[in-house]
Amino acid sequence: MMKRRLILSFVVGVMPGLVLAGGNHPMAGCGLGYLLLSNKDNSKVTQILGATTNNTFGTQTFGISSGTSGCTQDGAVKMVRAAEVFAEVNFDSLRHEMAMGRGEFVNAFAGLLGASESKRPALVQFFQERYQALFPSPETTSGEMLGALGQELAQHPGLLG
Amino acid sequence: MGFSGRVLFFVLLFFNLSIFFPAINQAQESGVLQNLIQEAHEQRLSNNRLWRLLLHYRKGLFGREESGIDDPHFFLSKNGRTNLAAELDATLTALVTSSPSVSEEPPQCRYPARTAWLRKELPSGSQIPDPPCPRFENWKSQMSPDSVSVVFASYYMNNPASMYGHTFLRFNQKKHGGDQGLLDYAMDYAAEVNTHNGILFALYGLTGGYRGRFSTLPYYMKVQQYSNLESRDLWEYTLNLSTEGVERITEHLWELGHTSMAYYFLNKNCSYQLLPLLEVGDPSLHLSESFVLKTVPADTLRILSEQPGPVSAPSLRPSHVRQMLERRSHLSPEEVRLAGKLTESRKKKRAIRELKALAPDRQALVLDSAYDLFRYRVGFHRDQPAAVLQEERELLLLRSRLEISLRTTNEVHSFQVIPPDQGHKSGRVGVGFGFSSHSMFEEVSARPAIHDLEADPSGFVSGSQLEMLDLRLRFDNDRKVGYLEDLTLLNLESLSAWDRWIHSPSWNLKTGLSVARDVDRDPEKSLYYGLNLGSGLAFESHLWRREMIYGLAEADSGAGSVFDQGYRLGGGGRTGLLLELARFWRVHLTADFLRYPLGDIRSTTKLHLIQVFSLSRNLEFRSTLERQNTYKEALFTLNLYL
Repeated sequence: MMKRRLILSFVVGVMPGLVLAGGNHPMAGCGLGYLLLSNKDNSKVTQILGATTNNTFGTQTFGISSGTSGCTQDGAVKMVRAAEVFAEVNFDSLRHEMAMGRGEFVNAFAGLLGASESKRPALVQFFQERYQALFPSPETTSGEMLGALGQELAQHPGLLG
Repeated sequence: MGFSGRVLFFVLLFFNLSIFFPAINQAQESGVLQNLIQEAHEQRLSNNRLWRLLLHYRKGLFGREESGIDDPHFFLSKNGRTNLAAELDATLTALVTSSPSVSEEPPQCRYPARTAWLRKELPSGSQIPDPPCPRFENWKSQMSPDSVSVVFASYYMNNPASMYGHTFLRFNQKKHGGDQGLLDYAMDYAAEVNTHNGILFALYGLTGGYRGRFSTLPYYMKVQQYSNLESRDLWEYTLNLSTEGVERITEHLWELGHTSMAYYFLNKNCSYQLLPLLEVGDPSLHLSESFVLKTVPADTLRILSEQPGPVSAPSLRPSHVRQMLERRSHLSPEEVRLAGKLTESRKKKRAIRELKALAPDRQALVLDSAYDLFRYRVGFHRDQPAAVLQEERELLLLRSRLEISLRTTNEVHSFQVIPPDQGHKSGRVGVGFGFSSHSMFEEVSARPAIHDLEADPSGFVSGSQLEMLDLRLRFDNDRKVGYLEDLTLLNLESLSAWDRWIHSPSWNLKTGLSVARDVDRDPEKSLYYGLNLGSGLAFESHLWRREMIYGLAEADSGAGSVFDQGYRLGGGGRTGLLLELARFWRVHLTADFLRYPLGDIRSTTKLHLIQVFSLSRNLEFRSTLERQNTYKEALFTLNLYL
């Protein structure tokens, strides 16, 4: 219950402000999108030589009891940033599934925003209806999408329930 | 006494008491501590299996018992690494008497698993102080697992780090059941790499030069990395542990999170370190003892599946490619062509007109497949160029206007894939005999890892081969001489079936010592060191059961005194046919044509016919007919996987 109220307050209170957030604004992103950058610098030789360490990304950010960043603490995402981190890391999947009006990632996102199980299908459909408002251009960032979403949700408060 | 006198009296009394007060406290503490230590000794608690497991004790090479954790900060006693009783006493002492400064974590919060266990086991356990642990409680509330699963990220031949697969843990929360599972947390053990020097990278990974650390991160990050970015299947084995066991795993993971251990790629790797953690959850499990010299991830799955009780049948989260092909199989051939055209900018306008002619639900299916193909081609990484983003947007806008939300496809589709724990074991030994144009001989062989093209592919990626340290020794019956036939260090091969949408190249790499058979000398004098690289294409058909035909262009080199000038360098090609004639019978026919223009100048033609009969999952009979130039040989072996 506490968790839902926390997230709801983020959605209603903070997200509309994100639309104004520029690139360097602390609320504009958690900087975790780097985890999905391509391995263009990671040449085949480096890959082969690195074969014996099986190093996954994010050990510094997510170390238990040692990892900290703006959005994580001790190997867990800070509750108040949960929706933001999810949107940033899974942005491509969300951009896809919101267009489709269904999918695992958009369902989880709806739940993360605080929609109860019975309200989620309607919310997911709402994302599809407002798709162009949420993603106005090919370069729309996750922060901008969240900002637009916050504004839309503020006008339809019944959706989150 | 006047008023001021009374005040003075009480002030003096107060000061006197406060001088004595800490002493009274200390006396109480030491009484409680003595009591607890005595109880622990009476119960011989330091010999308890769970205490051993919490400290990661195991029998070393010379029968001496010590902890596998080499970080001295993990232990509260100087001798904690080698003395169970000393560590127990030191832990009790710290729990009762320590008074940490404001910024330090009290030992209860640094060692919640030890604390909880001692409080429960000792009759006076409730007297152990119970300070609040906000950091631990906060992290625990995020993990809050109801059950634990071991997840296996499948073999991935195109990245050397991933050829053996990878395992990690997932903390399942019931409240996330159904469609919120992505919000669960996962746990990982990996090397902390802080140098990008290539050679050191590999060397440190093998020799314990890196520290391994535990991290926890949202499961959706794992799905993005494995299912999408690397297109690997995820197999989930859920464990049936008690609530208490799951809680203990969570507490112990926090304890491990404070420390690090030397990371060894061959044996103390990601898959190994999950096992002591699971044993803490259920002390009746004996998992880590079986892994001494090597830990192959699939072997850890096998040992879990063999335990009576804890594991349910695995569930598959298919990779992006597997999902893409499955969705495509529901389209008509025309629709498949249309989906392809939608991803090509020249043909797109016409394709869109064709699309609009279809019924809306078919349009949705075609667009979904078109998007799958588009995403497969550009990849899942973040930094895409503007043109790609524009193209993606066009596809997605078309889809968003359809407002058809088809039922989630995951439950409707079934994937006929054999889980990795059902495959043969990773080590192999063999005995055989044979005869050649020169003599009769016997052969013994041993290979620690892990799979070749002719073995039963169930549980492995089809068309893949990953062999390391294949040793073959022969004894020539006629000349009564023993010799080394082969010591292959690395023999990798990946045959990817060509598909109209998936154009992966096939390749091979082989290096090691072997006997040159195309040179007319005694085998014990024909040993050379070789390196062979190949690249090409493979095609698959299902005319009978499964057939694969492939062609590879090869570069081949060898160095050894058997050659004129001590070396040879050349190239050519190999073509092969891999057939599955029955579930237990496979045939592999290959032909190599090589020319060596440099060094020992020669032309070589090699023909192989290998037949394998699987007698059981871990036992096979193999016959190999070989011809190299004028040399001919037949070999019959019995191989046991262990």
